[in-house]
Amino acid sequence: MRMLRIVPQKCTGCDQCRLVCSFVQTGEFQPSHAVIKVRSFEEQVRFSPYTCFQCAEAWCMKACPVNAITIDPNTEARVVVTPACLGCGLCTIICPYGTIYVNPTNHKATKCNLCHGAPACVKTCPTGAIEFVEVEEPQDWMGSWAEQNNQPFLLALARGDYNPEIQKERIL
Amino acid sequence: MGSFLGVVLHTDLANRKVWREELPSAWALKYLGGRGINARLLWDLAPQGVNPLGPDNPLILGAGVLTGTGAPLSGRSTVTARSPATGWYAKSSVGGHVGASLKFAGYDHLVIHGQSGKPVYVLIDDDRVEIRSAAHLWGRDTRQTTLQIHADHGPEFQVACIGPAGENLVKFAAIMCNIHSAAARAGVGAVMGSKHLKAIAIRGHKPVSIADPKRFWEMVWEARRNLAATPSARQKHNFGTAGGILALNELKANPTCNFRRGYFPETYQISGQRMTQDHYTKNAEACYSCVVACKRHTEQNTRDFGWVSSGGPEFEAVSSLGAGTAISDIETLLKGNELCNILGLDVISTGSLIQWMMENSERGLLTPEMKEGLSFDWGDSQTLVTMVRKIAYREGIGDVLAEGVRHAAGVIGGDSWKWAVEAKGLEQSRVETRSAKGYALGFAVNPRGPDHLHTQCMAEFGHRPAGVDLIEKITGDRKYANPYLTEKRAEIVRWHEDAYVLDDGLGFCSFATSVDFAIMPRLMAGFLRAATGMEVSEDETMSAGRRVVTLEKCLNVREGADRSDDRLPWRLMNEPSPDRPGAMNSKEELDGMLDEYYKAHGWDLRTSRPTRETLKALELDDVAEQLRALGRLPEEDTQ
Repeated sequence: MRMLRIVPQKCTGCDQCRLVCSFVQTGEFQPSHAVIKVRSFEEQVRFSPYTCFQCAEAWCMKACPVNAITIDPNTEARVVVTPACLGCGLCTIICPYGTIYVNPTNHKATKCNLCHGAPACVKTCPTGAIEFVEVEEPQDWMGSWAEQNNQPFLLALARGDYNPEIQKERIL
Repeated sequence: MGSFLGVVLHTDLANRKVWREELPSAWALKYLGGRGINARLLWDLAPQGVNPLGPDNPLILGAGVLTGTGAPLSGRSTVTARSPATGWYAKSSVGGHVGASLKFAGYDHLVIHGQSGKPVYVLIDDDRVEIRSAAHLWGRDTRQTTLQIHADHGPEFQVACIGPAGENLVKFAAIMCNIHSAAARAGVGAVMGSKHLKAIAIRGHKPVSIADPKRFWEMVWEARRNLAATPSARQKHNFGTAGGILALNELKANPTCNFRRGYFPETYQISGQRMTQDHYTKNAEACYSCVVACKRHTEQNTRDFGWVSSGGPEFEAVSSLGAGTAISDIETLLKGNELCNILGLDVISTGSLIQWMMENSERGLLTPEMKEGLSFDWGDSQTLVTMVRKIAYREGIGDVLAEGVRHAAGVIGGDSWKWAVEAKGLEQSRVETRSAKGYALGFAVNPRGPDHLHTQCMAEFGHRPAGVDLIEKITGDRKYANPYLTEKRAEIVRWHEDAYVLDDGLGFCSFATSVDFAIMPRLMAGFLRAATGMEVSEDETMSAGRRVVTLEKCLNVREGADRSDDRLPWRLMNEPSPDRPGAMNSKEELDGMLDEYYKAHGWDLRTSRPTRETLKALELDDVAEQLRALGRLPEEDTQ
């Protein structure tokens, strides 16, 4: 299957992905209605887009009391069948990644559906920070990065010689 | 009507009142949104002879018609007021995310009236608009202020705020948006400071729609293909705007030592290329919806100044604080740039003042008391870093400099006014107008003072085929793509004026038009059609641009401006550039170009004021009537 892989180091914070996503999903421009989010760390000028990576566990699908979330056979994306959704919000509570939302206008769940196989955010991203890649099975693309970056500090914390300045320098 | 909402949010700080106003939808075409409607609102709201730092001077923030949509490079907005630095009209264009947030909150324009007695900030969350106490923010720098507002209300709020410089009414104080984007020229930050308004924080959840999505997306991809094919856009992404200084240096048009030289041997040390190669640049940052991302973020643990982190330095900062003062130490430059950003100062004016002081010192005009222990030698790091602080806090000699170079020249005395590179009271931006005649004319007629954000006619250099084609389109002949010619400059400048109004009105970055030649008026008119559903042609939008340019001129004429105000700094008119033999602006040459320019606009040659017929043809009858009542129309019309 193909999944979205995000390379936060390449992101410039232009918000093109959110704009296009909201347009594709709702027909109007409103970044807060997009199902891809960009967390901006304004002081450090770092930006991190994140969206559903169609995890293997599919927590939202399992939690849904009315089976309104299914797997699209073409893209293997976990998609919301909007007419069936009751808007109870259970999926948003159970999702460990926080990437499924309740749309404030129609009160139904909404999440990344990979634009039925041609993700608009991938097409629009000017720096290639969002890639659409072939993988064996869905994987947590930030896990290894976080592990690699955080482990030294967790160890330092355990040893008792943790220095936030060094951490700052390292992450940069 | 599509992406033009036509809603103005008025906020009266004195009476704590907030109200909405609906604009006629025809204004979207008549004044082309952002900058044009701002100018019109200023004309209507500011009385003649208004004190720029008084309660009656409105501060107007306007988002472009396309701001908030997915059109590339469309995130810019315009800040307009009467300038405390020059006394004339001031507009300052700014990127960042503030304009888009204003649009998402449901407004095109925000007007701040009156003065608050105590420090306040304005919080806009869709329909909820609050004027809140800023007692805890007053005195803090722009970075602290922004982060505090994020901590108090949430990081989705986009913040435009002033730093200590704006609070202290420094005449070239900036409004900083998203910490690193500045609306800086002509002192709009001081206007905000005079209102005791520390910050504007905006968040919005309302959708922005477009009238014709199919055509709109075709336009978007055409614009993006053009941008991708443009080498200058790629260069700006790789090295930032500061990457351009090396080429200028080789052209001997890099203003060095207060415009005395055109060549700075150590330019590489301060260039964008060096900052990228030596990893001072940590990240590229984009304004809203921008696919180029020319903004830099630099961070360094410096030897002398500790941890330095800021946006930029951009070309103007590098040239003004670096080459202008002959400082080639990159770490000093990063620190100076960071201080300007967090204290909220215009880097162009700040650098101009410091290099002017260095020249005063060299010529023996400064007493030891004025120097206050600083050396004021060319290239001295300590002078730069200390003086930026002193100007922002108005300490010692900084109090004199904070009034702008024209005022300071009166205090220092002697011949110091000769090397004060200013016109209309505004310090010139970092362009060597002696070797580019179109720029010279554009700078002289710019209503806010000599700088490049009214007309940047880079096409006249003929350095790119697209530029030569543009010159051919404007003048009918390719041979005019030569910066040393004075013929046809009026036509070239006028075309760029119109295109710039279109840029600023729709929210596009002017780089895309006049530097990259990627989003040209034909495409912009197409965007306007697709986004608002209005049937307009390219010619109609360009003539609307002319209307706005004339209205801006009238804003100055109402205050008494005439032909003698359209001038260039003394140094550029009277001293040739030593590194580029023969490069010089002269009075005769400028007069010739001005005549041609006023004629092209239909303005009176003797006074430079628009005639009644011209105003009538531009549907500005009420403007003509007001000018007549004030006796500010050309003589034959007044009788």
